[in-house]
Amino acid sequence: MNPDLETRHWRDRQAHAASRLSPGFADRVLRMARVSVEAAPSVLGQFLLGAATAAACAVVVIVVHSRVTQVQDQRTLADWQEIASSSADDLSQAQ
Amino acid sequence: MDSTEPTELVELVRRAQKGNEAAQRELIVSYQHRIAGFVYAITNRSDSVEDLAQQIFIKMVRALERLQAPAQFESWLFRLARNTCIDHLRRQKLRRIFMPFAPEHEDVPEPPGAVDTEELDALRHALGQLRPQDRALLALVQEGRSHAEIADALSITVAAVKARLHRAREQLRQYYQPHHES
Repeated sequence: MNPDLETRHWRDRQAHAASRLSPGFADRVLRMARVSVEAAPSVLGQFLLGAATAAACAVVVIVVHSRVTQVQDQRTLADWQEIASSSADDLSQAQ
Repeated sequence: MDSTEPTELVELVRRAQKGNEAAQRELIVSYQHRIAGFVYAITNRSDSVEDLAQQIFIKMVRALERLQAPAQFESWLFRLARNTCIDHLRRQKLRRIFMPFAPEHEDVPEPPGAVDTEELDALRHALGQLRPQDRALLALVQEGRSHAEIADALSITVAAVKARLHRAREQLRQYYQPHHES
């Protein structure tokens, strides 16, 4: 492969690539860079969002756990009451 | 930025680092064509050149204040460009795993007029056979960068640059076959 030809090819390719950039490219980039900097959340904001998410998850876990425990306690208490009443019936029948 | 002296470039970079928009704009205008060519060399697709060049310069503006050696600006910018392009190609590869396209959609040909000669077409085809990293290497050589500068831009050693360059040239020669030669 001829080195001159290769150089010319690379130059043509570069010219072709450069032609793909639409007019006002630099201004558009600067505008977008400014917008993305303004829109980017701050470190403190990200930390607070993370902390709020973790707190909300913890509240959900505690509420669900206490609800499940409460239902289970009520069911167990009802079972014990049934056992106690049937034992009392058996005792009175035996007497 | 061939016409700008290194000291002028350093001064320009320093002003851009301080948030001077005119300096940032001048940097973009000075490098946009070279970066576009570099992106095209790595991706081998001209339809993604503008998007990627935009991403690269936005990253440049946002990260410029963290650049500690303004004299190293060019190497830093080309390293940023190379990493952005490699990330883009990696994401594309991943997307293809989850959303496989039909073979005819995998390699959409360049739009008409994009490749205007048989030799260019053959070179594009040959370059397409190389790894994106090797295309980046050849593009930097064509940019007139020294081996040390290329090593800095690609985060590899000078010895690795020489070895990879030799291999990439051999492969390019092997794949380059214009129709009238074949």
